[in-house]
Amino acid sequence: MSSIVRPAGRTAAAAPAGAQLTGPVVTTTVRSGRRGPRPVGSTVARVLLTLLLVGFACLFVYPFAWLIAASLKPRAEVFDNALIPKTFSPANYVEVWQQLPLLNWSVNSVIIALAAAVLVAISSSLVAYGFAFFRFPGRRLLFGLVLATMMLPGAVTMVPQYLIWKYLGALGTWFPLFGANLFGSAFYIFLQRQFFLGLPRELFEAARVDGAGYLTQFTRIALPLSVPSFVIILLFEFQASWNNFTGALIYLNGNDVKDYTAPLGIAYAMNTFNPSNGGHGDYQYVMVASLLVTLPMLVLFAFGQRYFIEGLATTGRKG
Amino acid sequence: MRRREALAGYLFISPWIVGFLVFTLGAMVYSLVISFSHYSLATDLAVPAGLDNYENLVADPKVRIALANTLFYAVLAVPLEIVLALLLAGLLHRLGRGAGVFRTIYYLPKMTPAVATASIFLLLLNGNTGAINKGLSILGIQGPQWLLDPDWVKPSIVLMTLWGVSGTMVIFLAALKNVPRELYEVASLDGAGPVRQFFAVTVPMISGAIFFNVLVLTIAALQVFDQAYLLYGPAGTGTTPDAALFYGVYLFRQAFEQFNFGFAAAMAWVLFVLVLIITVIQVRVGNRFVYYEGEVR
Amino acid sequence: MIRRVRTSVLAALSASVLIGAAACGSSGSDPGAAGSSAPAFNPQASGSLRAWGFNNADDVGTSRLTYAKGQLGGVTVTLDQTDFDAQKFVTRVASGNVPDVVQMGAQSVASYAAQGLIQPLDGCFSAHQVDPAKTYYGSVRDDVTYQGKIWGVPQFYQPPAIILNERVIKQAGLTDADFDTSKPDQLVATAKKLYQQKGGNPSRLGFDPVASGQPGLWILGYGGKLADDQGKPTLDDPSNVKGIEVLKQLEDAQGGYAKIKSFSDAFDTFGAGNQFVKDQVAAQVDAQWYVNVLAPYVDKVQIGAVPFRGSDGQPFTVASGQAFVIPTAAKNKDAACAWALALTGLDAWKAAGAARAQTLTKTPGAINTGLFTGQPQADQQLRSQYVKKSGNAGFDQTISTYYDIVGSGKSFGASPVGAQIQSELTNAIEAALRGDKTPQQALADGQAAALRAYDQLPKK
Repeated sequence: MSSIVRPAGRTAAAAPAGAQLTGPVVTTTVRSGRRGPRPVGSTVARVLLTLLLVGFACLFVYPFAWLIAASLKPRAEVFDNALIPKTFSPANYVEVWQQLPLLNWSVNSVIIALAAAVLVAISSSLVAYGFAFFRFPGRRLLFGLVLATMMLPGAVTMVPQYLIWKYLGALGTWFPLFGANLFGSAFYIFLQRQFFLGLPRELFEAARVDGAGYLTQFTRIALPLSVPSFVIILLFEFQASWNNFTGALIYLNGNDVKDYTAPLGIAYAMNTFNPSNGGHGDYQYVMVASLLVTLPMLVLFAFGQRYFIEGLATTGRKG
Repeated sequence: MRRREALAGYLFISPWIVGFLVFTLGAMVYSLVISFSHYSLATDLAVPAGLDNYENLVADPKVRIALANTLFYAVLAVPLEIVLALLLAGLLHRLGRGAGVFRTIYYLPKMTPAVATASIFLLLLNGNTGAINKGLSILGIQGPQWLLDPDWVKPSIVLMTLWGVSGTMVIFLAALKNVPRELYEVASLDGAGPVRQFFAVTVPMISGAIFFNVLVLTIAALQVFDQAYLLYGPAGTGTTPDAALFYGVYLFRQAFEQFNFGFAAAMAWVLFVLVLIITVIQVRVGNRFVYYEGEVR
Repeated sequence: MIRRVRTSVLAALSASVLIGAAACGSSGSDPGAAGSSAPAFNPQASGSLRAWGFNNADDVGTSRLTYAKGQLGGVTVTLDQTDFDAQKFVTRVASGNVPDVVQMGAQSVASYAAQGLIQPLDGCFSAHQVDPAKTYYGSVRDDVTYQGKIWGVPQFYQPPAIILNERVIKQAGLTDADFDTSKPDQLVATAKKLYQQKGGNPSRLGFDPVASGQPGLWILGYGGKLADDQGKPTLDDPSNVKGIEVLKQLEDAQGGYAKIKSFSDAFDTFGAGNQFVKDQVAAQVDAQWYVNVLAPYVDKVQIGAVPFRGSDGQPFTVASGQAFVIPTAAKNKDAACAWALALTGLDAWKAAGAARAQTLTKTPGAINTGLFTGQPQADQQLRSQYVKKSGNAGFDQTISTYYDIVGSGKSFGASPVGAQIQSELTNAIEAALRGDKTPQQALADGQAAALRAYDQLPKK
């Protein structure tokens, strides 16, 4: 394999940890046409490429189509793979509310996800502000530590964190599911700091001349100007919290079923209806419930697609 | 002024410092302490146990099985994720206008909660009636018993992971947008076709993003839990064959079904050291090949 | 403003450090005694009672609940009907949110007894003048007896037997006598004869042994042994091999383990299209309750039954019922004890029998299949009072087959690693059936894992 660009690892290896991370800021948008390989030009190539992409799209979408179909089938037909149900059973959507406390689960999940998202966005912004605008001894080391914790496997701290919450008497409450968000989260701190670094310093200078304190500068200037990345954090964390199965399993499984979150509830439904455990194989309800917990995420994506994509793009750029 | 600024800085980052001291550093030290003790749920007390847990861990055949399964899964999943994500990103980028629609569609699985994915794939992967084998049989392929045949347990979970590959794809897509167009033009003048350009220009130029994804995906793969627990716990097929026993699942069982906290903490530390070693190796190897954009300037 | 932030942050910081220190400090404390000396129970119950795991929301369950409520006049009962779940139970213990009485599988009882999480109930039985030795089948009692103490109030014993699809069997020119598990070669030949496939997948099983659902039946039925008197696992005992070999021959003759499992997972077991209606099985190992499921479809099925026979040709059965246990940390153990015994007393079962009979009168032609309570006296009384000729000879014969075998049950053998033994046994059987390992190797691996769990138990 010949490469036109010679890999230059030497420089990178010599650079101190975190040095590359002060690179382009979140909002850097590159005008299309100047970068990346040229899009295919000829019509034939375009059609072929589009067909290929449509093929992949079918593969990615098929499970959703299957899920929607299965959710509309009577129990005996759930396994039949027909994309248009032989027997339509819209009653599933009515019965599922009696079979499972879906409303409770959804409300619980929304409350927890909102708390998690708002807390982590505020705390991460505070911390990011500190790293972006203040010089203090050990700043580099500490920021390196922030980045290092991103690589820490969650399984490693699972047991001790459980015991910490146990000593705080918080087992069986919702606190363990968002409490740690009070202290910021590495990836969001990184994201927000990148954004802050792109803000014009003059604004802060002007405010300082007007006598604004650090906190005022934060609330009056930094936060309002960083709404885009703030929204990215909110959306990412809302999704992460909504999908959080392990946490709910560890901290809420001992509670009343009505206290469950949506993911734990679905797992409970899969468990309860499973014939291997003496259930009656009512997978149609599991399918309805699965669809209903997925929908809010699809809506979230529909409205916040830009932010999700931008947030992920930043992830790559820190590499 | 300087002191005041430093003080303010520390104050702003203090939430993170507290969180780090308690929930990360404190938790890890605490975990280390626990791993040298036996915890009893009945009495809520821990008794010093020396190296007991580590000795048990070495002697436990299940730990070996779980570790082997997990490494096997990671070796299978990570390269496939990278290759598929690169392929999709490359194709999407070549399309130019209109790519946004496909990107949106490809991204939908990433938004699907793991439990929903598991419940769908539990039925899709049924060896006799599942849609995947029905589809294969149209192509004349007799599909395997995905969830039940031990040889296919891990490929099944890889398949579920690949369904959500779009997160990685989006990162590559963003990186592709930053590769200078001139490089392609030069390559094109040299007579390189699209495939050659991909390997000669694209891959080296976005090697930073590739490297980053390899790191992140490897760490995720070593902790695989949700899918395996859901498909092979009471919610799924009802039994956990040895082939579906992943490190994260066994750790969870030891910790939260047996309340064998000492043993679980020892397992967690072994995992931590393992991840550390693998990451260091990857960084060492990666630094030889990775090109960072900053160097162009 | 900055100062205010600083004070609060400092407060939070110091609090967190203190918590961390406290958490670290408390891990090195002295061991405490598990406190397993048998506690005394007061037969007078009062106050409030929190119960979990009693999930029988049908007529039988509700009538017993009503009866128990009448017996425990002053006690307010709060019921959590969700199924028992090991992780959920220990989570509750850890969070101090522990119920007063829990219904769980009888096989888990010894495990929690060994960990000190539940208390012995000898005092409970004697306070209410109930003699376990006279009340329960021997096998039922043994399943909840560990180290000389009784730890659970058992209920239900629904033995498995073999339900036959006579329609299919007659068509093939075979008879009930062809399904004799004491003659494995003949059984395998029968299964092969009745097995049908379509496109390489089973479309009818000649004999569905329900290998992973009834592992104990097959292993113990052929003379196996899962644990010794101390509860130490003995999965590698050579006597365990025979059952697995028979299972493997049976499944290999019908498409193999994985295909059979995928096929049977898609059965509409509880519905109008169940495997006996749709002729998806010619014979299947089923617990007694399944006769109830089939009863509404009496016109669409033709069933009969034969007992499972051990190597010696004698009827054999083994089953795990449920048991009520009282956690060590229960706040109202007296009410828990009184409630569990009231729910499982002869009079409660009589009320249940009456309720079931009442329900069935609403459906003309409905069949009363009896109740299998775990207590010989209750079983016999309800049978003679309510189980009448149904007008369908096949169902009558099936029902009486279950009554014939219920007394020939064998205990699994209580073990503190009972749950692990079961799951390792299931794993071993599946590994052997798939052909990954020889039965000997699979059992040896299972034994190693179960023994590891046994050795890791906290030593008293």
